[in-house]
Amino acid sequence: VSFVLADLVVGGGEGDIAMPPLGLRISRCDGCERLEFPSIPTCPACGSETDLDTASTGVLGGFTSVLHAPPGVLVEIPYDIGVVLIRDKLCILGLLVTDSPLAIGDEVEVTPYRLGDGHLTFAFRASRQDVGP
Amino acid sequence: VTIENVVIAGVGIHPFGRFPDITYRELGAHAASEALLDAGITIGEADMAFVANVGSEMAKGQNVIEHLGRPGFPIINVEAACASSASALYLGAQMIRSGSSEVVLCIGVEEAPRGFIAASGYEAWQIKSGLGVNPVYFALQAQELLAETDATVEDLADVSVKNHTHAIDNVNAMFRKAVSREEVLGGRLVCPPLTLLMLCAPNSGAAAVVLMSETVARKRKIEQPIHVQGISLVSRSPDDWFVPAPSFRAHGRTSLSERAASVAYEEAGIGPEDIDIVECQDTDAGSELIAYRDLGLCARGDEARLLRSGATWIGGSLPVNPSGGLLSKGEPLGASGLGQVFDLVAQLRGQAGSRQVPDARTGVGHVMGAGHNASVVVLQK
Repeated sequence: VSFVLADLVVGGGEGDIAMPPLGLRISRCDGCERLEFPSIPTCPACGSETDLDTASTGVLGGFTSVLHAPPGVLVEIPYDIGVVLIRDKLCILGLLVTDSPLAIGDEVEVTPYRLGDGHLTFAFRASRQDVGP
Repeated sequence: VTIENVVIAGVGIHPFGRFPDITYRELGAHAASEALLDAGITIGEADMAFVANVGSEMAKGQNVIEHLGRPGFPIINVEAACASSASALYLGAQMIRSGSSEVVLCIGVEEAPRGFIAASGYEAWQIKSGLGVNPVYFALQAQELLAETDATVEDLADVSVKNHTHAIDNVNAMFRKAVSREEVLGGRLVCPPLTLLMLCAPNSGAAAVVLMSETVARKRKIEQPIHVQGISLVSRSPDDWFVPAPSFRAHGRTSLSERAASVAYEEAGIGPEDIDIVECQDTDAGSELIAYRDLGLCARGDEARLLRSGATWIGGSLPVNPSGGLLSKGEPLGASGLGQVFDLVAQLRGQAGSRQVPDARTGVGHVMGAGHNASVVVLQK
């Protein structure tokens, strides 16, 4: 599985049940607990070292659509971009993939998305955890 | 140590628009010639030049100034995205304040193709993943404004209506036609809630100023010198959100423009209540409303109310973008900040014709943009 940038994600081997589900590789500051994505070794706010962490789910905070894309984009238009709130601390921009409309406040999870050149990127989709029995 | 006061002795402009048959060198030289003529000096009488540009070739300032002569003085090229020419002005002002120079020429120039601005600083993975799209950032920011305040999409449209109305008599603006709220709302959707007429268009143009120490300006009997009372230049902090950041803090976010304003106001010894006119970075309609609070023109939450009160129209108590703003002029990246200064100087001199704001004494210019740079300048007559 080849991601557009290897350091963006952890886990998520396609069909490999030994791997944990796909998550975004974030960093958490030892000193002030700020989260950063993509992960960085040193906190830009307080200068402390950071620990690696994983974000697999979040809450949709807002979204918009791209109806006309600039050159270089490997996603077919039109597509949606959401702001996803991680642990009420960090907002991450990501593609939204969904068959049914999502609303602000919905739980979302990280999912792989295949780009036009065959590489993978991350996207968010409606969380499956609340599917009933 | 004496700190020299800085004045603007001359201004020049090349209209903003699309000029496929004119090179960026000619655009820049045109604006610079006008500024030199306005100040009553020759290129050889300046001590140095700062030349702002984002997208052209190497040694651009040298190639622009070649059209004006070969003064042999230092020519320094400056780039900071939308804050490029404000950065040139900042540097020029510091050179004079320090006593290193007495007369500095600042030029901003851009020649840009139609459409999206390329190379805004995104990582390759962001571009491929469809996340490197500038209007997405402005759309999400506008949505947040609509969610957190009583602002509506009609208010967004009305910013565009106001600025397009202001531009009708501005010969240097690209769009000089009035638009209705319905036309703005019914226009092509770019990124919801933003339609095409709520976003500024990158284009071509140039602007220039001649800065002088107050001492030299007096000696030269410069008429109507405009004082640079305060000028700031600030860059990103840990808790800002900006183009091209892939993430940002959920709470406790800070504002770059607010910091830029507070530094400039303090330097000038003024408060927002002293301001008569503002030219602000209206990259999109939402950005203008957000600038109202960032520049201290209103409290957070009152942005749309200030617009609806009519205060920010020409004829109101605090006209914002009486030039028509970037929404009407278009945004030649390297020239936009000095373009604002050109318009502010015309207002402060009482030369703004039908757009004249009566008794304008204090004007504020504000730019911010990609990479996260912002500058605020306070000008007084």
